[in-house]
Amino acid sequence: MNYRITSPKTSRKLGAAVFSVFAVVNLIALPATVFAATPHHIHIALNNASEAVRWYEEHMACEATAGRNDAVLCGTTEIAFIEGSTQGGSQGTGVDHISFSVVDLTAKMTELENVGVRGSGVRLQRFDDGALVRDIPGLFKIAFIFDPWGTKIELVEDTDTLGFHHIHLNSVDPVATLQWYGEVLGGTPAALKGTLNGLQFDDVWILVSAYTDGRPGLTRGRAIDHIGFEVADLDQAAEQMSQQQVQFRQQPMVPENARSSARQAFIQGPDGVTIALVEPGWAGVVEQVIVADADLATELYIPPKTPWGEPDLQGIWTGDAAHGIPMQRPRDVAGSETLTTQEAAARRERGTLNSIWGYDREWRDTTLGYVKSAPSTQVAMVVDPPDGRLPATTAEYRQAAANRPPRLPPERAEGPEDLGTFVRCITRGPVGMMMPGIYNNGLQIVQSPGNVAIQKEMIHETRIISTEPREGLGENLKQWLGDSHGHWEGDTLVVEVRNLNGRTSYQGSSENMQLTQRFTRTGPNSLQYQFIVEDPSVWAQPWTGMFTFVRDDSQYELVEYACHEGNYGMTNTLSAARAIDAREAEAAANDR
Amino acid sequence: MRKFLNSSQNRLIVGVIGAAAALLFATTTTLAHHAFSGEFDSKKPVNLRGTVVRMEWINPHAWLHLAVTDENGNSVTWMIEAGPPGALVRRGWRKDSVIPGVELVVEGYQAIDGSNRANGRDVTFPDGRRLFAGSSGTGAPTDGADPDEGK
Repeated sequence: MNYRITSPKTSRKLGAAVFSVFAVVNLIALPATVFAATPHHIHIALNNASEAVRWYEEHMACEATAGRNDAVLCGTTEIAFIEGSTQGGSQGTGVDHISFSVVDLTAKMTELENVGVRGSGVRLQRFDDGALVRDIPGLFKIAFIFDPWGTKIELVEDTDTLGFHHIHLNSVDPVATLQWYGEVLGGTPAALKGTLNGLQFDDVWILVSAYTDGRPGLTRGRAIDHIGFEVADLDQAAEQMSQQQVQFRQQPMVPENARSSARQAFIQGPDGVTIALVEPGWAGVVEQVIVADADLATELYIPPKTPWGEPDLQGIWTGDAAHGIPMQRPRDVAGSETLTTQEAAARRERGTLNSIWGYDREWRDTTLGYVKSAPSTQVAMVVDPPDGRLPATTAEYRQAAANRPPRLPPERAEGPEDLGTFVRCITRGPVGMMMPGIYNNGLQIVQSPGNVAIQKEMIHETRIISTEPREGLGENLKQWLGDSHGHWEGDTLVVEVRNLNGRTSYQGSSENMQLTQRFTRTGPNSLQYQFIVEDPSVWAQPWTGMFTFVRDDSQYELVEYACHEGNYGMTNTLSAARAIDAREAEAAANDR
Repeated sequence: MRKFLNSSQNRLIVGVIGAAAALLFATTTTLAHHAFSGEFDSKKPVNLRGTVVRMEWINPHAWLHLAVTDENGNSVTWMIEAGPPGALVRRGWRKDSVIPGVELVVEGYQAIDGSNRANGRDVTFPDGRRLFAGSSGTGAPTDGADPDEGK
């Protein structure tokens, strides 16, 4: 879900509803602006607004906004929650986190630690020395937590300003960013505690940290979708900003489903931050749809490099966001480019609930409300052919498939060999191993000069891929995962896989399959993965699939597999088959 | 504490299985490590109350060993299949969440071969508290599995 934070001052003026979360601050001295913008709200996207209201009331001492179930007042700031799916948490975007100040930080962290991460709990971030709280000389004590929906929150013990404390931005150039906010929106340049340069809007600070990992991610579609400022005269403000060459993403207008007649505009701030401007009386929008700017993200993003100069793909990524994307485009979405976020959330949830009926949803990583990454809106994995459907199979393949004896169902298995290589803990093969499921979607990438190691948690394959030219295996040497040759094309890792043994068929692929995999970082937290399958004995033309892994370093760890020694499933399946045999034999004997 | 599954809930579960089978044909991207239906019997729901003997933290499936007193007064050990350790930890489980001696109630489905093995659909404490806090009210959907849903 997304939240917006709005100043309580505004909310009191409005009496009720500010849907967006902007911190509204009344500006007093504005050397660069001809009007006074006040932080109005912070807009947070999440999947359950009423649950977020409860959480912020309970843990951040915010107050529910009268007459609304999607906004809270926090000190003098309002945070509004928008129901929708997010493309990930706030950390690493242009608005890295928001901050609250409490009287006793140590006691607060003890309280939160007891809440735990379960359910709609909270994640606590420890510092490198293991402590939850750090005392910053000259400032105050600080700590970091994440709300259940991925918004990073800094808790501080600044008794000068209790309650909502600051908005913390990421920037490739913090000095320029502060200058931009000062000139465009106002605010008073000041030093927090005399040491930390920022802008002060009454009690709310805007602080900026230098961002060195490429560029910060776009806020749009992330947990903190945007921040908002209120202006008394929107036309005057827009005119001034146009003269300042500010880019408008939406001109002033009353949005569809607005709760009041106040107008809203969106401008593009530095570092991918979306900023709303609202008129007095703005009361948010009912059922606003959050749309990520995927094209803009790709355009703006420059991936970081390793110390030795190769594109840096390292980290822990998960395929959770891609769970539920069908391989082929369903016929009923033939014309759509993408699903809406609501449709995407529903699709992943159907996949999660339907895939294993016997387990509690607690067992699964993709359960709505737990999963940290937003479901992909992609309609199908197949992106080429452009219709999203696999190419026609060859007559030769269809003939061979018709003559092949059918695979025995598990309850007829005579031995382990009758079950698939997945159940037997061998491998799903180089295509299948990447595919998302309801759990164990972790993907870890580690690099050294000239090598990329890719490990997949399900079911424990590790591939070490050389990116240097080297001689391949002889054509008669076939392997489960084939023979991989990597190279860099710009910032993309390209891996060509040959010499497959054909025993890990994917969608009918044979040992003749030539697989090309392409890995491209499209943002700080997104790794696009494409796989191009060429197998002329099965399909008359090549086809390409694609989905995106989402970075999840903050909470995800790959757990070592004990696949064989823990494979009670194998004995259970075979003993079940023998029990069924015995029952049928007994029934047959009784019939005689 | 949950009641034993009644017949209407059984019908519901059968419906879900049908949907799952249809989905597997429609999409090949949904998968799990093994075929659930080849191991456990959806017509044999069990409701077990017992004390933890030990927990095997195995990836991809943890196994909970539970000492249960049967109708003859004998203690028998059941093996309960749970989720992957990583997912459990991300849900808040810790190694001391299920220490030996803790009393738990498990609902699940018994193995087809009739042995004392089951999958663990739900795990609760005897007073009804869920072992995982917050299965309701977290934004989790209403899939009919939770009898408190909709109240």
